[in-house]
Amino acid sequence: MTEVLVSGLTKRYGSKLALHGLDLQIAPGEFVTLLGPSGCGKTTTLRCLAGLERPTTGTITMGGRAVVDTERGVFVPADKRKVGMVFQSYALWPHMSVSENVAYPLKVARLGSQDRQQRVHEMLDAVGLAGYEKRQVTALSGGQQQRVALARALAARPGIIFYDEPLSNLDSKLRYQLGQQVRSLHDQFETTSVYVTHDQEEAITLSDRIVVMNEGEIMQDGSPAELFDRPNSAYVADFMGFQNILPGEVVGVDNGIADVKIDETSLVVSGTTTTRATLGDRVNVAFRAAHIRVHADATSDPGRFEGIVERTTYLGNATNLLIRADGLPLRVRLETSDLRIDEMPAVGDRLGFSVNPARAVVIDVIQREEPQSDEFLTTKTSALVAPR
Amino acid sequence: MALTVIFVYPVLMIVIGAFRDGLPSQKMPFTMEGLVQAVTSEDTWTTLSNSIILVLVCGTIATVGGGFFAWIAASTNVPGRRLLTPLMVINLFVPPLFNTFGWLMLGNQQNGLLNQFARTLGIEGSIMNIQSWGGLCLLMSLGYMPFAYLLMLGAFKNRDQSLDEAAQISGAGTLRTFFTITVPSIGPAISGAAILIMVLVFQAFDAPQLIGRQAGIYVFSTQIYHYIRDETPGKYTAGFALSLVLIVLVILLFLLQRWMLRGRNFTTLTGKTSRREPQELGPVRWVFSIVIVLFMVLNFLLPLFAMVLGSLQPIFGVMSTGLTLDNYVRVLTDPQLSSSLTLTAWMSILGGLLSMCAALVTSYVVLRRRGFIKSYTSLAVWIPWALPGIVLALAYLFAVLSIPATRGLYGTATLMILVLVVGTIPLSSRIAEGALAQLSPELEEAGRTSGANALRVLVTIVLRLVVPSFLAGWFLSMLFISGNLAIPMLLAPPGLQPVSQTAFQMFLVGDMSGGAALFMVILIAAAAVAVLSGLSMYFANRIQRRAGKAPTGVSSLTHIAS
Repeated sequence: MTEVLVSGLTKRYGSKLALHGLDLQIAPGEFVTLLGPSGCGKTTTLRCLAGLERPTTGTITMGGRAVVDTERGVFVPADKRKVGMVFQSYALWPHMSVSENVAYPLKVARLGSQDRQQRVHEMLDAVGLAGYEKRQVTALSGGQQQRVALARALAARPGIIFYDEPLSNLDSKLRYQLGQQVRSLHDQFETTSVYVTHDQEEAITLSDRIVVMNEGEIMQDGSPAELFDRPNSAYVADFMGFQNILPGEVVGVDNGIADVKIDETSLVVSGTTTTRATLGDRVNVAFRAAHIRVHADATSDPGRFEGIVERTTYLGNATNLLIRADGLPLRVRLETSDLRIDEMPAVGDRLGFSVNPARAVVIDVIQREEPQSDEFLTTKTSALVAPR
Repeated sequence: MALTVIFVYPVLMIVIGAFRDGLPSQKMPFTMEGLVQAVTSEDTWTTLSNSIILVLVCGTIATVGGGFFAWIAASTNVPGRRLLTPLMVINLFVPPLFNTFGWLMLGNQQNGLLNQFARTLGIEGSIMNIQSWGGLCLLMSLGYMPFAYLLMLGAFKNRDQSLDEAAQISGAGTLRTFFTITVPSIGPAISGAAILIMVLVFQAFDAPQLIGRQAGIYVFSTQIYHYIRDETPGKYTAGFALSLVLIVLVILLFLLQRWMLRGRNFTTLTGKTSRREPQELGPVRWVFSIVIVLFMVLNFLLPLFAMVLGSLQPIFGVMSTGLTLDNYVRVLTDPQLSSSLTLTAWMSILGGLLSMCAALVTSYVVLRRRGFIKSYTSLAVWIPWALPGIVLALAYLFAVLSIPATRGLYGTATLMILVLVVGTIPLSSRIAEGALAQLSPELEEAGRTSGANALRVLVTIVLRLVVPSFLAGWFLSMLFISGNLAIPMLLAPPGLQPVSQTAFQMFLVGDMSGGAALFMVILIAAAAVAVLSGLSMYFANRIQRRAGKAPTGVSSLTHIAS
């Protein structure tokens, strides 16, 4: 179990800055996922941690040992860091058998041949590939190859393992199985794990902590539940699958719940706010399609609004609706089990809707300042929720 | 049918010839004597051991050197690495005969330029003699390095770099990673290149003839020539027996390669490849840069310099007489020499065109047809790979003589050109395959579903798209034909010799300056064609830039190797 401290990490490719002064702490034994779209800097961060990439500036300490300190000219290359890594392309050596692949790090570490064989056997057993020792790696399926790669990464018992999108070349069923295996190996061998992916579901199911990145910066850092339920920005909300993100102005605040009047409509949506929002602040309100409830009639109760169904998509255990409320398109998801058979909404239906205020979040709060800067702020917030 | 006559029949003649005595026009009984003699003759065994030494030494050096340069070009930060591929392609264009002539002028024991230079520095005697084992090995190792490089470059470039990173993560240092991971992981490409290079060294004629013979080193190709041309009457049976042994050895080498690659397909192991960061090398990279420069000097600049200088000296090696263009004037005005130039020009233009056409048709058949036609065609086209020029020439000689109707072809330029075309097929079909491989069947199917008939699809889609590669292949075949020495040596009609042979004879009688000038004319013409086509391609690209990218000739050239 290795503790990792990163501070002020930057990486420059030519004139392009790929990382903007990253600070990150990873506790011993933690499973941390770096999440973001391609090009957000997550892989670059991982490769800097592994020693495959030389950071431009910053310090990295691993298990109390400074492995990167650009000011003092310290750079410990990958082969001296005692780490493990699982690659997206598996990176199994095609000229070696399964057991030779797994034994390689042990050989380099000068483990005796008896111990080596025992360890290889143990590792292959742990990943469920006992009996495959003599096979050529080229003759294995994708899932088996990645399990060999897992065994190899763990073989030398490194304190920390890096995963670079290890499951993205596999089909979805295998992806789930192998993900579970990655997590159970993490627990069994008590390593620290840093995992890179662009798949939010993978991140949520595997991690103790998720770090969402965008354009070389950390956007949010928290537990899977925090990120899933309480994103702190439109960017993270979008990435975590919030289908509705709307700009508006705070028109009422009560006990952690803010009422937001959505721009260019008469709609008022209430949502939970963690930051101190006050009347007149510009904000975004974000909620999932599943956070909208449907009502048979459109009464004028507060928080209720009327919408016309424009499209329905039947998904089996749920139905997605695209509705238009006061000219505003919204996405709604209805669980099939919550609906009566004769209750299925159809295109053209005029129904009542309301948003669950405990689930909707008010984010990107910009305090109200001088009235004349209002216009500028409006354009800025609406830019944040650029239409998808 | 045509395939049988052109490709298969001549090989049968070698087999038959080995079991008979004398020329095919004479009625002779079948006999094992030729083979028995070949096996018991001491010459055969010396030839065999010479050939094996040469093949092992040159094959190893060329492969290791070529692989080293390919690694530098594909995955390091050595300064000058980007020059390597253009340099190697140019080297591939220059006929080996040119380098051999150049080195003969540099390293000749009496008046070689390098030896003269050493003497001006006060060194007694000579510093080198190119006509020796060392010289032959040096020249041939360097000569095949560009080909080895191009054969392996793709493998180095396409390999997944995370293989190295995985080793580094496992704790292995740079050197250990290089030898336990980098090199073995492209083992098939390396062994494939090594075997092909060895086959080529095995078959080489020019350098062993010009350099080896003077040092008393006979290899298969020169020994065969020796049996047939230097002995009177020609020992045909011995020549055929030796040819047969040579063919069998070449086939064994190919089988060896097959066997080494059995069931091991390394290429399937690729996911999404990681981004390519050149490997950071320390100060040693400057040493590697020097090696690149050294290679360029040895394999290109020095021979070129010798040829240019030699062609400008009235008497080769005599500096005091100054430099003149007299040799060029002589080459262009002397009726015999200028007719030699004309013959070479026509021969290469026509032969190159024929060779590319044949290659395109056969490759197309191999690629798009199924069943017997496909297998038979690919086998027939493969045959010239196994037959070195001298054996090919011998086989054809025999083949036309044994049928009364074709006997008239003997001693004509037609036969010589025909054999040159067949000898060029291995090269031109590689280019044709490359060009057609870029052409997915969907492109043709789309043409058909748009309502065009098969002929129209062939003309408007297939031919249109392969034109750039076709031109490039034509050009390369022309150079190959004009630089070929082995085939004209046996088949040139009396009094009508191409440049390679004329230059060779001028070198033999000591008129090195004249020979150099003659060869330079060909090279200057080729360079002019290359520059002109390069320019026109550049402008065509500029015009077409908006219209999207068409496959260019250069990309198909690098495919020769892949």
